[in-house]
Amino acid sequence: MEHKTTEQDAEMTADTTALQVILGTDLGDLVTEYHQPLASEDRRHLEEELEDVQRAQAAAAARLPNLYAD
Amino acid sequence: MVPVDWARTDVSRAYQLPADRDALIARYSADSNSLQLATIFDYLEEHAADRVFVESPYVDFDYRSEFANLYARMFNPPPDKCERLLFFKDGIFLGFCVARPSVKPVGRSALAPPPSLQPFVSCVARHVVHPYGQQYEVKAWPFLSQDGVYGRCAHAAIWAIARYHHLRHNGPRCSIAAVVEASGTRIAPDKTSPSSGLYLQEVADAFAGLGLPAMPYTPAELSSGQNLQAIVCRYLNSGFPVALSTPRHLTVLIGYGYRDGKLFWVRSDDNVGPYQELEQWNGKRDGAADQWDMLLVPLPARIHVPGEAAEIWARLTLLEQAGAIAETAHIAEELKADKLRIRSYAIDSAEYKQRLRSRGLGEEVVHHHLLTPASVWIWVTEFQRRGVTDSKRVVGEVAIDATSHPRRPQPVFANFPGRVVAWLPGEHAPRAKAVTPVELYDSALPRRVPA
Repeated sequence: MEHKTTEQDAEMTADTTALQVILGTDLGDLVTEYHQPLASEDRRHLEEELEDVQRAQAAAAARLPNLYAD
Repeated sequence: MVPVDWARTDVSRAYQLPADRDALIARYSADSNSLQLATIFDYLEEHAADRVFVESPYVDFDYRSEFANLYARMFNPPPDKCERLLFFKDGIFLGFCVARPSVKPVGRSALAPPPSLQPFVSCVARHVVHPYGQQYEVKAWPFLSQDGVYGRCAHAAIWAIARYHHLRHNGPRCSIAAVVEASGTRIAPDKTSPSSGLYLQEVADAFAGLGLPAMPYTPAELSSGQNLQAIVCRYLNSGFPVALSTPRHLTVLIGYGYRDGKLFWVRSDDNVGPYQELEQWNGKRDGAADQWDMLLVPLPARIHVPGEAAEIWARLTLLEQAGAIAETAHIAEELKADKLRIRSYAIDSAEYKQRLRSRGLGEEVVHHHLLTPASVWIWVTEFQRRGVTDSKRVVGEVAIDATSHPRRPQPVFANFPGRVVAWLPGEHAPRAKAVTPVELYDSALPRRVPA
């Protein structure tokens, strides 16, 4: 059986302690929230920006066969 | 012609710098003036390097790939072995350069960025070498020059990006032959042919074939609300190199910074060297050579959301979440009034969580984010106080699942002063709670202004 040194034992203990502290804070104490969606104008504007990202990428992809590097 | 004693064991020895600079350059660029080799020695001068050890012979994985797939079929082939130069200053390892027995001698190389550019290079990976049973390591951008026959600038740029992702993100180790294969330009197995270059579609195919699907950007036709600088900086902030196509040439942007308030880029150009300072593109200066035709951003597969899409959704998330609560509504108002600076980067969520505690977010926020399940890759958007230039400048941040749908990016967690929010897997609505407010905390991004 592999022998662990005292230093290794201390390291393992420290790691376990850190995990115990993190897991001690329960996500269960978070409150579920149902917000009204963002005011329609702001949201529509941002959604349009997002749509435009896809359009620009498709346009860029269409140009790939026309460029050359030697 | 290579020297008659090329790759013999008795060539191995120590050289002094700067005294032996010219002798070394003469040995390795006998066939031509190698700008790349001269550039490497310029960087060494800036480092004040004092020693070069030559390791001979050296069998190089990448040169052997070129040799096996092209040179071996020649009637009079060059040697199949290389020599490797190892650079030091006061015993500190600065990097290495594999010297090939070809017209363009600079093979696989890794040299620490020169001190004047070091703070601005975003893309460095750890290289470990074992000459004569010793171990040395250096953080550097991987570089090689095209040999001009089997590989061209496009192959060199693809190789460098793929090797960087191999070293940094455990991607596959690919030779130039693998690049040729992935680009779909390999001749039949029993035939060989010099390359005349690649179309960018073939470049994109090569990236995809190497497990690095690339997002394309045309500088002249960006999406609304976006600018080229912001797009490129997001990827560089994430440590993702950006392939830059200029007329008939492909190079790689690997960093950026500001000098006298003006942006500059750090570029790796296989015709010059790994670290070249480049002034901000303005589309008109110096004619065609400055024209940026296309940017390709190869990403580790599993990043489906482009940086700008993640940032748009982070803005929406902040407006929706902070704006809905009286205590945090002022944050949403500040964003609408353009009082917050927005900076985004992609990161492995484990790495993000490991760094959290050092940034002064407050223990409650740290515990919350550590505990919230997250995708392997996340986009993090920092909302920073405008005008604040020291590291404590962040008001709040939103993390987006980089593996989510690009048309509907999914938030993972967020924090604003006095509040944390989590989007837990399988739940339709976010969960939130009040926490002790922290006014400003450290940005994860370095400042990029020269000291």
